Amino acid sequence: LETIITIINAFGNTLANLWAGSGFANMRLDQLAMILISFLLLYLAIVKKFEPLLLLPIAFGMMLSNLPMGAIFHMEFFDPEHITVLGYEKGTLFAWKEVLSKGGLLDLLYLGIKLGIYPPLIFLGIGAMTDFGPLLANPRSLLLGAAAQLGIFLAFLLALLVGFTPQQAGAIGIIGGADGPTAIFVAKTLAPELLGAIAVAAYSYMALVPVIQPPFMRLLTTRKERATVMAQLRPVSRTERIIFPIAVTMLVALIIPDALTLVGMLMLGNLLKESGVCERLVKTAANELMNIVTIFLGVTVGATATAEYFLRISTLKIIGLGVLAFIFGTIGGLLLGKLMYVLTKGKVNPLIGSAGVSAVPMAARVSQKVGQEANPANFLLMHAMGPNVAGVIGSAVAAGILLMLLK
Amino acid sequence: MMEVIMYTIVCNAPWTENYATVTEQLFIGVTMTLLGVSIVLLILAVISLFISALSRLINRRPDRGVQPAGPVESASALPAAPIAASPDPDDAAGEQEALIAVITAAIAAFSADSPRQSTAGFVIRRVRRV
Repeated sequence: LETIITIINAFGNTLANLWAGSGFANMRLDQLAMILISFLLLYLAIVKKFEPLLLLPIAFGMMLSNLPMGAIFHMEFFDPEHITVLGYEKGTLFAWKEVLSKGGLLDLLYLGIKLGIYPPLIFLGIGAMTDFGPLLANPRSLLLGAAAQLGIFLAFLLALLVGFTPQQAGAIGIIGGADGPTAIFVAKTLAPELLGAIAVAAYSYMALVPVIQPPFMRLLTTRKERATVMAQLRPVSRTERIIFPIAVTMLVALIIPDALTLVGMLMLGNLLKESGVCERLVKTAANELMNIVTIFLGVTVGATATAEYFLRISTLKIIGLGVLAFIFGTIGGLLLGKLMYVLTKGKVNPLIGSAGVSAVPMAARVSQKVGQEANPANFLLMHAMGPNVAGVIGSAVAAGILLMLLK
Repeated sequence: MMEVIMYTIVCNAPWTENYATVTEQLFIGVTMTLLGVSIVLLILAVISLFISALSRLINRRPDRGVQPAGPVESASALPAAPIAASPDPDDAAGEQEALIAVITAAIAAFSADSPRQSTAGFVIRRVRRV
């Protein structure tokens, strides 16, 4: 009998130890809340198809890092304050000894963000996919891309006023650029502790461009303005297409050196495409490389949204400021579009101004859709692509300015 | 030159300090907003001027590699399909050409906003009698 009792006790102890070491016993309420948030994002990605290519890996990464006892990701190894406590010098990027000895898979993959590798590689792919033809055919559209960056700086101002540090404000403001990789690139440098919230806000709002922009487009333009049909774009020579990426890289690098990484990779990708002699490289940059990096970027950015770092009042503030940044950017582009409408005596449809926030090609599609509501014979898509791709350059330049002034 | 100006601003303006009062925060925020928007506008305006100058320079001489911008490019980039009507033995070649010309003119007239608007880039790939 004693033997049986001993066996039962041993069995019970083993079960108790198993339970104590399981995720169920160690699950905290805040972690459970984060897992539920990740389910919501998964729903939005899969069912509502909101930017699924990024939102799905982000949501899954969020779920992975919040499952207790998994040890797949340790945000504290990348937290500047915690690193100092561990005995590293101030300014050390991450607790490299701990990452290499105790780090999980996502800790290692996260180095691609921490070291600033993934966002420029995404830009390389974007460059390989982007046709700057509409921009070259109508260079004035670059100004619309610049005006739409107003949102970045106004959001910076508001973020300062609600109590964020200048660096955090800069990282939050960049959400207004509607450009995920740029937002991540700036946030990982200026405010790594806010990276998760900023990335989730940036990608969520990018997906919500068709919801956020149209009311302001209708509010700020008359039906007559929206119905404006623009003249067909002029043909663009191959020489122009080839010189453009080289010249832009040099110009931007010489003026704002901190923008070189993003703009340089964007233009390299575009030069590969336009040169017409690197077909295999273009295919790789625009497809395989881009897709691989997107998975790594999405899942690791999602992983940074751990309960300790995400469930804070600051996250709610970031989400609020992010939507304002988008709205300000849209308004900035629209107002300059209206000015152009007046100056050109009705030859420019102001709706293309709202496409100046990057969000390629979603914002251009929204301009097309709202334009067609006013005039079914209106085809604004390619005209809006000019400011749209200009917005990519504009947000990269704005990121360079923020990095230059705040890092 | 621009870099020198930027450097001066960076060195003189304590951007990275935490400001306690709302007035200070407003001042630094408004300054940054004006400065940031101006610099982005300036840089993109310079690029815009450069593109305009470049296109004038290039288009001054006959260019062999001219491609229409945007969607027209994708259409023209496709292998040049012969403009052909669907097989109809009754149609003479001259009639086909005339028909295609009329249809092209009709599409151009329908889609062009003004008589001056270019219709270059239209490619009629197939005309079929229904």
